[in-house]
Amino acid sequence: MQQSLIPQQKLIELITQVKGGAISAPITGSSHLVDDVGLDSLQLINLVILVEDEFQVDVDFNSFQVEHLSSVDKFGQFIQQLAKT
Amino acid sequence: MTRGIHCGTFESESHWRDPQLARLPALPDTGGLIMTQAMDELLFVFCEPEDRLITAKPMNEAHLEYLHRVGFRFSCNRFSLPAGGAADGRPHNVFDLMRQPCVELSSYLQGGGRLEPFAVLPGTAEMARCFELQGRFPALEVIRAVNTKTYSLEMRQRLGIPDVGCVVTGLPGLVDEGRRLLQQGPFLVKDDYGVSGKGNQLVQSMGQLVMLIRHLARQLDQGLGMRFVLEPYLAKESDFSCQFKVEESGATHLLCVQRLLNNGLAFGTSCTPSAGFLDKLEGSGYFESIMRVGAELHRDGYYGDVCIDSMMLTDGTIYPLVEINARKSMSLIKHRVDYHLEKSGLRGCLTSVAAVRECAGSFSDFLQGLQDQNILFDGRRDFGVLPLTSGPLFDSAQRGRLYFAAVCEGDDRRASLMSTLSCAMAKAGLRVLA
Repeated sequence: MQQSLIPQQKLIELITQVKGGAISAPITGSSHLVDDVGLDSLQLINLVILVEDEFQVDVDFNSFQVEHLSSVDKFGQFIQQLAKT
Repeated sequence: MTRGIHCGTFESESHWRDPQLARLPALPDTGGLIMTQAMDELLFVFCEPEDRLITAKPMNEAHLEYLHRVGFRFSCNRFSLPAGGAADGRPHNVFDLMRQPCVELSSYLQGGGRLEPFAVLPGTAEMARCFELQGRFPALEVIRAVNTKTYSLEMRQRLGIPDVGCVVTGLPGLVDEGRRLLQQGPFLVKDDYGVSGKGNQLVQSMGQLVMLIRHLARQLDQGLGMRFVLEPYLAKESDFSCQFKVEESGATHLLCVQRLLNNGLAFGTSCTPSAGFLDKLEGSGYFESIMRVGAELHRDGYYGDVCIDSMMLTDGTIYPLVEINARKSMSLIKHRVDYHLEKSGLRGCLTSVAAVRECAGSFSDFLQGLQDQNILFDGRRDFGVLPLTSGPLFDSAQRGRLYFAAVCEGDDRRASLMSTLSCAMAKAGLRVLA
């Protein structure tokens, strides 16, 4: 499996930040951003904004796929691809 | 008395919306449409015994049998409506489906009736004519106009509410007004037809404003227009809503007030308010404001169901009008559930849980699981879970939602009921989502 070069711990920090600390279970690389972490759409948008700032990428919501949310690692890989372009 | 024909499509705003307008950032929700379509089952609560419900997909037989057992009397279709139907690229609604050739539907509607839609959408009046159903509805242009956030803003101005926000129709306006509002604090950007929880964007920083502008600029470059309402984000203590009906004659009938425990900006739970809270509303002149809104709506050509979203601010001030929903609503559904429960001296809260089906059996198994946990409302006890839907969880993609009434008195008993429900769902192979 391809590993994300975006630091997983940093992503988890940003996710925790948008959740406002209200995390019911530990977040891992395999946590689903919606089903496990419980991010709602507004929190997800705020996460994307933080990620754009942190990793200097530009996320186009018009091409965003639901698959990118299936785990923290998948989300990291998506951001990594944006950082390369 | 003429029987009612109840049907509808939820998230009506997406059917009124101008597709040529730019959208706020949103994440893909592929399973959401299937789930939303299945919510039409909730409309059984509006049925009297002689009435007929029409749902896009037939209701689950075990669910129907259960609802009849606990006292809900209504007829419903046992066939699926034909797929497809909208001609102009907009999303299909139930009226588009009903206008497709369907022998079973023609037979089911033989004898006519009075059309009682959840909301008046494109195709509602045409469908009524097609089946010779009774029902008078305002022009669709009026419905579209009074359901915009722009209209709600104008109504706040008419009521004399200060600092109501502004409308922006281009990026320069968004930049200027956004900067101005941010100097005072966070603000909301509202899509003119935003659906609860989906069409609003909270902007708390210049970074968020810049990101939003970049997102919208891409769409404007493709030729889309823009119309958003910008409002200061007020410090809110709680949400509530008022349901009323404006008759064609202009008479306005108040139906109920419900407290709302929302999930962020989306619907969460609808509960009965305390007598003290209603007294506070009375004392603040809230109901005079509501009657005024009813009169203004009628003056502007609207009649029918209305739900006004309101809030109480942290300083105790009542903010009477957040937005106008000129249609039926989740809180009106809650009111109708109470109407049935009150026959047994009971009341409930309308709420929902999101879940993933991991190894779930049938809906019948799920009901049996609730029964085994002793929390299935049976119409005799004053405590239990009354499932109001099956399709949005069991016929949706893997992820769905169960809508139900929590029948009990007191926060402690409700918390206990919810906790037992979570256990019952886990045992039934349904993972409750965070």
